[in-house]
Amino acid sequence: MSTVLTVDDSKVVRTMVTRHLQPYGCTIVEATNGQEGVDMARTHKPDLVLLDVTMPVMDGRQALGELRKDDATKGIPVIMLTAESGRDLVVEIAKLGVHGYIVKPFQQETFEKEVSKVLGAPAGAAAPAGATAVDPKAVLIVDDSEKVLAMAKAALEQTMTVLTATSGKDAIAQYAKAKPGVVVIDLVMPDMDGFATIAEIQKLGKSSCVALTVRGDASLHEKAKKAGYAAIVEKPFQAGELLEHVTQAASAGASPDDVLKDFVSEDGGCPVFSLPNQSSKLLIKLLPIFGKKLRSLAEDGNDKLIVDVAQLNELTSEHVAGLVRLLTEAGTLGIKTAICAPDALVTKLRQIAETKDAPYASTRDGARQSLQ
Amino acid sequence: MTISHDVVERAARVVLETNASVKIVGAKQSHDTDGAFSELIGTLSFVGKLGGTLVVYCKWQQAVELAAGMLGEVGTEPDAETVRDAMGEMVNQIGGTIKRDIGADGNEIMLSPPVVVSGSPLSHCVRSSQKPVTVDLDLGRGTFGVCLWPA
Repeated sequence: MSTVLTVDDSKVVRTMVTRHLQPYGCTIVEATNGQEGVDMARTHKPDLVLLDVTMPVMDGRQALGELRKDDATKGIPVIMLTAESGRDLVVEIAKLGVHGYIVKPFQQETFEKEVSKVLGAPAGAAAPAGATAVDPKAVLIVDDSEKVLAMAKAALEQTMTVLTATSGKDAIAQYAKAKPGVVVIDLVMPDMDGFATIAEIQKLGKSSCVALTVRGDASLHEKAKKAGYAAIVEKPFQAGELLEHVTQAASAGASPDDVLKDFVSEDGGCPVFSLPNQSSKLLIKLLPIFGKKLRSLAEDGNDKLIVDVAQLNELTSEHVAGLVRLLTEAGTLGIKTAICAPDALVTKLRQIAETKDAPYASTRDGARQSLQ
Repeated sequence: MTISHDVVERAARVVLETNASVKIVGAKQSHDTDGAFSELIGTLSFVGKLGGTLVVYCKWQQAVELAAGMLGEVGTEPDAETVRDAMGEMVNQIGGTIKRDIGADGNEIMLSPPVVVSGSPLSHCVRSSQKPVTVDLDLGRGTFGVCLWPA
């Protein structure tokens, strides 16, 4: 279980952060100023520090500097929390080495996006004892509206096997037979609502569940998270939006090995990591898994890695950040990297300070040779 | 550089709605200070390219409900220290949001730590040659005032 240290002089903010961390099921320790935070980081060796910027006694910038000076704490990932986000501040804290920053006030989605870069995506519904394996390529959509079912089916059937149910009772019967990896459930249905339905499904298997709710009804979001929903999609939804949430939920329910198998391979004896094209959330989930795999490669004596970005349609800021993190971690472990990318992407990557000097090749063969 | 009513209202709305999940049913913009006395006041100062004092104020019970909302414990009554803490965080975040909204970088405008005062009755006044930018948000069961006094 991960440990997160939250450092903020406001008890209210510490409580809010604790609430937002609930989906991660981590142990939380608290400090009320920078000095206390540095001391607790040395004692508890947390997996992540969430650090406020403006605090009495020692502010967040000073505390970050202290953490980075000490061998015992310099490797601990830090995410800054700030009510301000001027360019000067962002540059200053970036130079001190932070994994991200969260601007207050923040929504759960924003918070999870940053925190998941370090802890990985939160698990979906809790796995019951004795639960049997689920089919990660199947999704069950539950909604009393035939129109919504048709829209959801159209959005997902290209990539997954889609089952549909028009009531909670029907959903449970279908779930028991097919054990789909993801269940998308309308929260408001007659007879058996989305909360009663997920409760029954959690008794039968360990699938990730996505809630469907009417746009603007924010009151249901918190309740849905507490019930175990991994994500919430508001109706009316875009096909791409539903697909992204379902893809993410499917990967959240899968084991790290299941997730890795599509993105880690070997080419001529050299490990290859491929960055996913379709989903930034999937990338966020993958990064900590890539990190563990890197450490395991280093322990096995591997000192070379190809990072393949050839399949990317576009280079998003998430891809750049992920690539930089991967290259930095590999460098720290003494692993040499080469990037396999088409010329158009290489031109863009050479314009970024952190990636401009990396060795590039347009084919994996070329990348492998550059590592010899 | 000036700050408009709309910037102040937008900042207050996003902070209240995001943190405390409150529903804002209306807003009144003016250049007056709130005529009614409040029971809790949070302030912070802007220093630098744009100077001034930001003040937020409301009745105690309203602040209690907002603090409970921030804690995710609607219907409960947090202790007085927690209510003041919530008000301080509220004015801090509204100040930060205004700063971001007007596109100011870190060193152009700096925000002081917030100060919160409670008691009854309270009013606020800042010596300034300019009129204050005041927005009163109607939360249904009470109002939440935000006032920016330019230096």
